[in-house]
Amino acid sequence: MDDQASSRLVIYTLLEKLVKCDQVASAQEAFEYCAEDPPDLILMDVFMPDINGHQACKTLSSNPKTQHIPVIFVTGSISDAEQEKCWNAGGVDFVQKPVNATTLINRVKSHLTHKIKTDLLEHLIYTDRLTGSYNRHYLEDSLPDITRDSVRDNTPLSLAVFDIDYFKQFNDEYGHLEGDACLLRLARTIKDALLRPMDRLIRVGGEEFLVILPDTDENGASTVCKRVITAIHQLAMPHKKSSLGRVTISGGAATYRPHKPDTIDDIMLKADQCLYKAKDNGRDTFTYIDAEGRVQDEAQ
Amino acid sequence: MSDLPVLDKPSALSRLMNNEALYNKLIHIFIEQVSNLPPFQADINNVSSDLLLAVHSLKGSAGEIGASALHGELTRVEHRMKYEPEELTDSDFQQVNEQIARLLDVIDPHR
Repeated sequence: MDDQASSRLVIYTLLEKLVKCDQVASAQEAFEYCAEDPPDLILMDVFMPDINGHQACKTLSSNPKTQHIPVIFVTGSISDAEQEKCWNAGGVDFVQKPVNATTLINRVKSHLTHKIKTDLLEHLIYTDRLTGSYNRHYLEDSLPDITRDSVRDNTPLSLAVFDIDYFKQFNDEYGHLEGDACLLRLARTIKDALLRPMDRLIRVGGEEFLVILPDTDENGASTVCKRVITAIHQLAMPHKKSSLGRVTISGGAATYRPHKPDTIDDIMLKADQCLYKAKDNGRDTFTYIDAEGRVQDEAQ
Repeated sequence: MSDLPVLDKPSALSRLMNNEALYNKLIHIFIEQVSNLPPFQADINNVSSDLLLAVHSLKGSAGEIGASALHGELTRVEHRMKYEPEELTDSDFQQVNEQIARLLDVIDPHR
């Protein structure tokens, strides 16, 4: 990111064979680029019209979606004062202009390697090893941010909880290896039933899954629940110890609405209560809270 | 007048991993940039952000092509514009203009 064409040309030419590289000429363009497809690293000029590099870096650092992007400042001055400003703005490093190609390439390599390792570590921390879905750590760390997005955008946020019916009996009957295979297949099926990249599947317990559905109202949550339960039912996985003769799943859903009294924890509790009601209703079904706050069973 | 060379092409090329094609593009951009600029003049009472940006940008381009004397002159003028504007004189900008002319004699002699 540099307002000067010659600087962009130098950096782009030196890096294009090493990494996929794009260039923008202003901070505003950089914000739009990052919102669309966050890069793994930003090389940022300092002295620019409108929004300077320090301000741009602070803006990126204050946004949860872009705060993890490392920023290397490319600056004409590396005076003590300038270095201080770069670090305070949240930069991870700086390269002096005119750019020395070897230094630039090695700094970029070093920070990209670090970023890849950090991303991998984050992936391992937040991913359930058995099913590949997110885990409870992810839920704890991300739900506050997702809720904040819902408040900021003033959009509903639905939570749907699913629990495999008679899963203990399945394990007892078929053994834990088959139980694990069943969990993996069900997780994949639920994931396939979520049609938007923004929807997240989280394994919150042994046989319990949570689906986070941003920008989704009560009707949308009901539609997703129906799709998930039908998809699992249609797998027709045999289950001798279930009265239904196959592996099934039950669900409960509730919707968080910004500026309404219920907190996201209240909504989680309500979704859980709906799940219990679906179990009471005979399983292989779901219950949800509708837009008027009434408990609704799946329409048969 | 600065003791620095008007053009230190070997250093610039070395910084660019001896990418001659890239260097030639930078020369072309520099010539275009200079041709679009009016001669620098000091407005002692009003250091505009546009003038500061023009000085800063030209300093960057000069550094990239190894125009050491001009780069040094622009670094000095930029510093003065930012931190000691009351010290700015016409002669500061006169020296910048002279360095630009000297440099163009070397990189664009047939202009």
